Amino acid sequence: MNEIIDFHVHPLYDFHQDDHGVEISPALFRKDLEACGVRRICGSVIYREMNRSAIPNYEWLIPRMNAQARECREEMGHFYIPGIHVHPAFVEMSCAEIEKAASEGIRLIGELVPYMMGWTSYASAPMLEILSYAGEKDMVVSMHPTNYGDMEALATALPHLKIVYAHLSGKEEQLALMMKHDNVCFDYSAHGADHEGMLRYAIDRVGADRILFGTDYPGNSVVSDLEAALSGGLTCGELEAVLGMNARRLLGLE
Amino acid sequence: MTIVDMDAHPPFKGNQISYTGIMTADGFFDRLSRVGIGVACGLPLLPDGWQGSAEEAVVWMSDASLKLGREYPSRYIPVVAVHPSCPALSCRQIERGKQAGVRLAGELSGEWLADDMRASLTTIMTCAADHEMAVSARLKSVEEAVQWAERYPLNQLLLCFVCNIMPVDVVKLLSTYPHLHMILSAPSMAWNYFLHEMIGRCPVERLLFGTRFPHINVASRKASIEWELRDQPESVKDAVFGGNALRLAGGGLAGESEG
Repeated sequence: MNEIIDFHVHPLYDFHQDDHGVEISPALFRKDLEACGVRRICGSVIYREMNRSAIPNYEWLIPRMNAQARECREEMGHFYIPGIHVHPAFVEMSCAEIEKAASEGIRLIGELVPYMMGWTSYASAPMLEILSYAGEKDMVVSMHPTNYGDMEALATALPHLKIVYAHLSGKEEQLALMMKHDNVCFDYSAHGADHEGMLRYAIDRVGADRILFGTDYPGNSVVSDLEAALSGGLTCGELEAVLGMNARRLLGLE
Repeated sequence: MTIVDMDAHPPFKGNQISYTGIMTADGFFDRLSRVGIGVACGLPLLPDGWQGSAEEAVVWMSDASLKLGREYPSRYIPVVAVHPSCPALSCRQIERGKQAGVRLAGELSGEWLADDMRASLTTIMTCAADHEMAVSARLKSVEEAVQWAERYPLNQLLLCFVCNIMPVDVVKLLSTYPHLHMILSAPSMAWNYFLHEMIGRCPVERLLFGTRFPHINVASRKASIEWELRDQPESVKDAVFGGNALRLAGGGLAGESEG
């Protein structure tokens, strides 16, 4: 088996710290993931301070969060593939962030979390402008789901944009999106595979090359989502694809 | 160590399960065995499309559970069914279960806390306490748990939550009410560091492993609970994964030895 890549994590995540009392430092973050067998991770920085802030604040929050993602990459090296944030209220700044990231070899945007940042649509004019530019830079966009109409509108408007929607749970609308749009994949982070047999069912419908292993760590259990694949009746080839090869292909990793 | 899933619900004749298709009792127990779970405990699933009355359901589930207990004596702990719309019939199930060696009745539901069901529910709970039979409840809120606990202090209550429950609430419930036991099948019990940190503040002898199989991915849930308990001594893992369950509900049916 090639290295396991967790496509959906969030360094500096502190949303549940008051619930369990543990500060998930970057060192602990990496230690836990590696203890579970994960060898590379992808995703954006999120934390409580950026959640539901006033819209104008994202003009400085987004560059700061993207800088923090770069700092995490400095600390974790090869282990962490950073994803940057963008915001439809700040098209020029967002495109500048994409330009800067692309120049540094960063090829991932997201996970974008519009519900935390005060916006709702991927198919709005400003967001299409930002994501069209991301597509020109051959970036992959990891996105928290909005609604299926909006998600489909984006996939239709930008058919060459590499889209990975988060949190596959086996719903027909999710599978239909993948069947209709070749540029759409899903990760099954945050217990999307909690239902018995879901992964096998989804792969039978859309193929193993459209589904990515992800966890939403440290909010959710790594082993839970990993075990869903390992014990899900997948062939060796399907496991290879879901647990790492699909992420490698999308991100152009060596 | 025998691992006991205290929130597992076998098909009796076969049920349609989302994403997996028809599951039989054999398929149910085989799947559990493949992930290392030796014993299941929980009411059987009603047949697909069931349209019978509560009274019929109580009898059907109790009958099916006892039959499964005899067909799979080493792999299944039977439960008798109760319902407040038929208190006398429910009490007969408890008495019948007691004679057969059953030690658990269920499943209580939050809606049954309504005032118009209070008298019949009290009859059932009194009967269960008199017969030293524990009672399981499937709840949607901490408030429901408090109501059950305060209204029925003489019953050993096994709680499982269909909603997320925060560690602070589990600790508070178990600390305040010594007759409560917590089945760890709530989704949040699989979240990172929740159970890992909570267990140091909980009475370990009242925590029980459970998954909601076959609806929930049993391998994933088991792996996450094992991960959360990674820093606990073997004695704690043994208790949570099976020892506590066997002490509360095990023992086997009358005339049959437990495997």
